[in-house]
Amino acid sequence: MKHTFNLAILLVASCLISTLGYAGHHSIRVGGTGSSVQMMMIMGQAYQETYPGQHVQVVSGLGSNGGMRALAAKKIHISISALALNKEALAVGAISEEYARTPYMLTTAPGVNLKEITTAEVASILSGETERWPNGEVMRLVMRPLGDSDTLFLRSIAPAVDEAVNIALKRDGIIMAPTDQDSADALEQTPGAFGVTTLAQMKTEKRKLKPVMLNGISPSVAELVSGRYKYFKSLSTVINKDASEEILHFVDYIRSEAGSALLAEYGHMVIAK
Amino acid sequence: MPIKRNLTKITAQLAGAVALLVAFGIPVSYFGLAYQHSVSRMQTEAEFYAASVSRLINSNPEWWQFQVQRLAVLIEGTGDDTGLERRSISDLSGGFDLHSNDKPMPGPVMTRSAPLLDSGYRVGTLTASSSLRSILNGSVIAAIAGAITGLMIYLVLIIFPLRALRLTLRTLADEKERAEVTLHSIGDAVITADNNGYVDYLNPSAKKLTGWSQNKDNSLIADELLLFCDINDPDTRINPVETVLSSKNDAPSRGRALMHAKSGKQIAVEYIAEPIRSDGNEFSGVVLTFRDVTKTKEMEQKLSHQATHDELTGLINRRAFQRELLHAINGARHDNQQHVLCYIDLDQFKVVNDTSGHVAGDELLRMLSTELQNAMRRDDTIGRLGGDEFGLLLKGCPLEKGEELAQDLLQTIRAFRFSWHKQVFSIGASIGIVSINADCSSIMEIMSLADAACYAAKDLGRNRTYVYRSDDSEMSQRRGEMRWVSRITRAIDEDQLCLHYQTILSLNGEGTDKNSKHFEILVRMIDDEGKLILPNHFIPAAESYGIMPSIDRWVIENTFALIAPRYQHKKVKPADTCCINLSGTSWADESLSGFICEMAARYRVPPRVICFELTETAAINNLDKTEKFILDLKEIGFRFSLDDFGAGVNSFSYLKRLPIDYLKIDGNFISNITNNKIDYAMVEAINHVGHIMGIETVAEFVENDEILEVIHHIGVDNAQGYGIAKPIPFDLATLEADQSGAARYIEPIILEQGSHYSHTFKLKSVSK
Repeated sequence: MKHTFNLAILLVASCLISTLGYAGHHSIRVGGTGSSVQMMMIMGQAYQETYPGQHVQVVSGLGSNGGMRALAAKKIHISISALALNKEALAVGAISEEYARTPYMLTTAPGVNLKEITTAEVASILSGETERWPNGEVMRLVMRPLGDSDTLFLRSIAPAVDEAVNIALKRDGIIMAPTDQDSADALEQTPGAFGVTTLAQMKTEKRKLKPVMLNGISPSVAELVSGRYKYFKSLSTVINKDASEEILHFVDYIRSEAGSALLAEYGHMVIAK
Repeated sequence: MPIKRNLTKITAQLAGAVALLVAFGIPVSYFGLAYQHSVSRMQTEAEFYAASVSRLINSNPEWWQFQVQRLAVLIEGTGDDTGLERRSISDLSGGFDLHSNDKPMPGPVMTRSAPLLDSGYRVGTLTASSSLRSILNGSVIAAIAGAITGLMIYLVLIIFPLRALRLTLRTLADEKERAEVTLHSIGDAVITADNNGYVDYLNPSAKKLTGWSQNKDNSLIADELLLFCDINDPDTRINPVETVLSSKNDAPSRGRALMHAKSGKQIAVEYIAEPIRSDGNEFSGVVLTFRDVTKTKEMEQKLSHQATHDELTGLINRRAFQRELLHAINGARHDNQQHVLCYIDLDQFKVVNDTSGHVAGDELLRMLSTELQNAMRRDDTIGRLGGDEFGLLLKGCPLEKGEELAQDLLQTIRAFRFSWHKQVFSIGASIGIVSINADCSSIMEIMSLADAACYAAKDLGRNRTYVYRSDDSEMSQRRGEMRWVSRITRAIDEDQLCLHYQTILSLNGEGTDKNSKHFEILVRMIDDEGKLILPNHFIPAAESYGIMPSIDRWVIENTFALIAPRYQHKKVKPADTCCINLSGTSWADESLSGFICEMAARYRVPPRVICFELTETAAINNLDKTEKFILDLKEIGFRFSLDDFGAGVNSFSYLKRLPIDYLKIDGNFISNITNNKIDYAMVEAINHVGHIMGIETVAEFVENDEILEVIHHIGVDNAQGYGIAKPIPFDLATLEADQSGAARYIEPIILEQGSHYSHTFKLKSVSK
């Protein structure tokens, strides 16, 4: 299913690129963190509809780092990043600007039906001390690579969870998802799965996943705004310093009223410029 | 000890080599294996990750370089964070470079690469890198462990085997030292040879005995060194070493041989050759032990000669002579040969011994033996059978010829003169001759016949020969006597002798009371059927063959034992006179006095009641001994009677020398006293002389009252004979109840005119 989905995105992106290239119009290529790929497609579609003749091509599967590398290599024009600038981006003098935040959320496979979890329980699940869900199903961790932003979120919940992450990463046989899409696919499809995603990804990709309250607080934009929920993914636009007007125009559109509305609709807390 | 040093050095070197092998082998092996493993692993990893990345490239050939997250996960592997391993991806342009981690990797580093392919076209390289630090660290630890192990192995190999080796070598050295000292000190010669017969060792005794020394190159062959010959056949060579080498079994070769020493000297040796076997029971040579038995052989010959020869005369002894005799008897039986046995007993030899001593007697025998040897034929055998008795075996000789030769020998003996301290002695011999023919039964029979014939020759006047013939009555009687010998001996051993007594009547009534007994002890033999055998049947044989001392001692002890209770616990001992006969051969034995005293003490018999009767003829044969014997025992209290007095020609002449108590007048005078005036006169004279000397007289053979009256008339003090009492079995109860010896009153009777008796008496019992 995961491969089918990726393939579909790639086909769409390829069609867009070839269409834009063939028309000779400006084509803005966007890539980066997986959790914003679908959002950027929605955003690009709206932008194209608002500004006919402008084309937005979304390249999936790059991730924040890959996006910044591709940006530095001038393979894309805008990279959506959940991380700080990497060495490649810094080398080319790329400019980063946060435009939205979306709550990280702990979630389970649809069959688990978990409503709420505590920090201690998270640590227990990650370290393997708790092996089964209350319904008797086996707990299956879906982890992200060491330097991924999702992993950094988990570590930031509590020192006990941080320690538990180290244990979890060393456990044999756990599911390691390279991209946000891989992670969401695994969470949806693996019975008893437990992992991290973002509210924005869940909404833009229309995932069957449900957010789990952490320590009694729901991972919602409202709670994020209220400040009660402290865990979020920061989303920034990264552009080269010599970005074109068209590129800057699209970046501005993201933070425009229309763009902000779309962001808010799909689980983002828009950061004003 | 070069062997010891070499073994020690080799052991130490081996231990060092093994220790070094272990010390270096462990880390080198560890490094080699770990490196090889790492190489294989890295190559596999590179190919594996390259394949994974290539799949991603194939799925997104345009953007694969920017799918950093996916690539990172693909090459991150197990998430190793030690920094010792790294996977890197680079594209062909070199503009793209991705590492699984950015930590500095400690060197040295091993890398293995695999191409990244896009539909078969190379678009980049995956490099798997691994630090060899952990392998080096492991190798260092392995080296330390190897060094420790090697050291321990070295110590173990150097200490224990060397200690064991040193101990073994020391033990071997000690044993060798002991063996060498032993071999040097023993008198036996010891030679060892290898299994090719080359001599490799001679002990000092062997060198001394053979005259050979050991070559430095051990090139001396046993066959050259050991010139052994058959001791009975000097022309036949013997080689015990070769015998054992050729047989190669464990059976030793032993025997005696005549050895030719290097000097040419011949030495009789006793040898034993045995195989030497190594630990693995491999035949490795021969050890030959031998010793000089020249002296032993001489000693054996001497002992053998002594065992078969008489030391004094050099003639063969009785045993050897009997062996020769046995061969002769067997030859006569099986081959119908005829031989003659002469039994020679020297006459008058005792005179030489008594007058000049045993030294002279021995010298006479030695010289006479030489004379006899010179006089006999070459094939004849002469031996000394004992004392002055010789045996002569005339081989292949008929009886008649034997008689002639015996006569010649007798002449030689008669002609022999023996000078000793200015005295010249001549001797004679009695020779008994017996024919040995097919009818002979046994060696004892032949010897017995020859002995009897010799006695017959003596009885016939000595200094003569006597030929035994089967119809010879004289010889039959003598042989009959000889048969008595064994019966008498058995009777003594089995207590088949018994005692009788005969009362002696006191005729003068003086010194007697009704409780006193005067009697003579008489001995009888009981045959196998319980019948009594009177002494006249067996005493002559006992006297002839020297058994009388045994009979006399038996009689003394048994008489003392029977009579002893009569004197126990009585204040006034009965004044008995118990007469016991003693043979002349008995008191010739000086130990008889001691025996009598011992018996008297044992049975507590008062010596005074015992009166020993000695025959006149025996007493005068050795007057000095008789006198001493009587004096010795009279001093203690024993009394003596001279039996058969009057039979000798010069009876009165020696009577004054013998301090006797009774004179027993020869019965031959008594039995005819009533008819023979001479006998009467003799009895009267003897009785008179006896009384003058204070000696009581006893008349024997008083067989009737007439005789009794006559001897009473003469004045004889005591009477004994069937007319008084017959001999009856002796036991104390019978003796004490016996009144036959009570004093009798004898009425004087008036003799008729013309009778030679002036008075006669009537005898009747006296009742008081």
